[in-house]
Amino acid sequence: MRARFRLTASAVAFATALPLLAQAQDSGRLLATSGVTQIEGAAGGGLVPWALITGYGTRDAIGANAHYTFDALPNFTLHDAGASIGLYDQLELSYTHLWFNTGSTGARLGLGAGYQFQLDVVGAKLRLLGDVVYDQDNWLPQIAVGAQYKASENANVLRAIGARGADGTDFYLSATKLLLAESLLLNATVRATKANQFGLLGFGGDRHDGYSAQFEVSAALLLRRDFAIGAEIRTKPDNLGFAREGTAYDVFAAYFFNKNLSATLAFTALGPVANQGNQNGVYLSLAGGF
Amino acid sequence: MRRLLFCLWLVGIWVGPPALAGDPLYLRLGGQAGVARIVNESVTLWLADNRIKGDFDNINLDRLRTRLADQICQLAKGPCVYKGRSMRAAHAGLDLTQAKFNALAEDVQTAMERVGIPYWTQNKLMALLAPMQRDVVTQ
Amino acid sequence: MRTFPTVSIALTLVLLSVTAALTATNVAEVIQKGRAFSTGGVQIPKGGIVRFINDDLFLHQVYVETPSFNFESDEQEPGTNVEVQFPKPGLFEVRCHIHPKMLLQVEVK
Repeated sequence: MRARFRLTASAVAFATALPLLAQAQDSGRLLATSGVTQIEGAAGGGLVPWALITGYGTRDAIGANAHYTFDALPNFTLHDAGASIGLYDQLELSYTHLWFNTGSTGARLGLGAGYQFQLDVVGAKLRLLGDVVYDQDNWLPQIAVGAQYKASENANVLRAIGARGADGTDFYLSATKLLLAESLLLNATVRATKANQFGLLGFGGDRHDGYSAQFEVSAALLLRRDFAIGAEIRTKPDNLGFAREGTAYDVFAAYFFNKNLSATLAFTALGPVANQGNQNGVYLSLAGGF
Repeated sequence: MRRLLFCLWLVGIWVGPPALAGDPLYLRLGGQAGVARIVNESVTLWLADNRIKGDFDNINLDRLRTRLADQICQLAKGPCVYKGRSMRAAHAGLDLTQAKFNALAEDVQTAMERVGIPYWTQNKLMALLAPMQRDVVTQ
Repeated sequence: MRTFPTVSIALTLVLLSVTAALTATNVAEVIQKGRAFSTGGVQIPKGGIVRFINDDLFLHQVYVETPSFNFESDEQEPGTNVEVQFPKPGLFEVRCHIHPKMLLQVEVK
């Protein structure tokens, strides 16, 4: 109940602020320097949050982004939709909702066919040091800290599968370096989390409760001003006794039509989920903004 | 398998061929003639760019082209010496924003595209120009 | 008996007033600021001097190109001056190679 109120309040704040903020837009950052939107709603790759701030606003302006992502897995379907704003290329605020549909697997899991896990994620990211575009003459990456507060709507089921909590907060630190002369972007993120399957299956568990450190890396090759390919690795905790959880991988191709629209196609390997075997599938994301 | 190879070939055509590795950047940009082409096309684009064309009012363009060509030539390890003022001194008083600097950079990218510089080579020059942001942007 | 300091002071004052009298109307000062001349035109007598003072953030330069009189200065850093003497009467346009819109009309009587 408390979680719902918090999230509604955030959504309302968002909606009122957006028209005011839209006046201060310049779309002045270079194409593709906003990254795409990762699964929890932060700017980055497909799975990993990077130190980039969403949108195309320079340090004098506001930018924003809305996305919809679809991931077709063998036993599940994931939908993900959300919006984010970038304030003066310094602070990023995001809200994303995830729908994890079990389809016929739901029946096998004893939840009923078509049972859906849902997750709200409210994120914030703050740039600390460095500039990913301009620091081409030194080794300093762009560094940002972030937090993602996640709240599930499936408390009863989560308790039943051994999760200790239905909401939790991830904290992360990202370092992103663009080696422009090599047309290569590298990112390393370290995350403190209790989330099971990104939070879809609750937080903490009977196998392990409490925070663990997880490591996420991305590499992207710029092939054109408007097109990049990349790969990511993201480790995950293994807190639940009833089902193992492993590292997630993806390879992606991101196309930036212009500063208002981008599309990302990826092959994601999320590892085993709820004892259903390796979930390898096709991921498609559309994002629009300024 | 053949279909996959065909798709990769199509992507390769779309992406463009990589430049010859190992040549100094100055040669890869086309030497003196190539740099002149890039500079001319860049200035043409800047004068047509609504975001920044006002900043070129009351500036001797021939002089600007000469200075730019010398600077790019020197940056790219060509046989030139840039004799102009520092970036900081030359741009002080213009109140340039990050958005304007980026607009300028975008136009240089477009210029290089138009004169046929491969994308990965373009990025090598952009990497040399990017740090100038600190001195050029004062607003 | 006059002391040395008194003599020097008196001599300096005399020299200064003579110089001032000779040059007061012969030197016109024009300031270069905001990539423009501080005035559209000046009037000086034949043989008079226009002193260009760069009070701008930018490099400047002055040149005159006429059949009867030519002048081309070096580039002028901010904070430096250039003096141009106009030996012949007439109407002259002073421009800047760096900033094509700068124009000063010099009327030499």
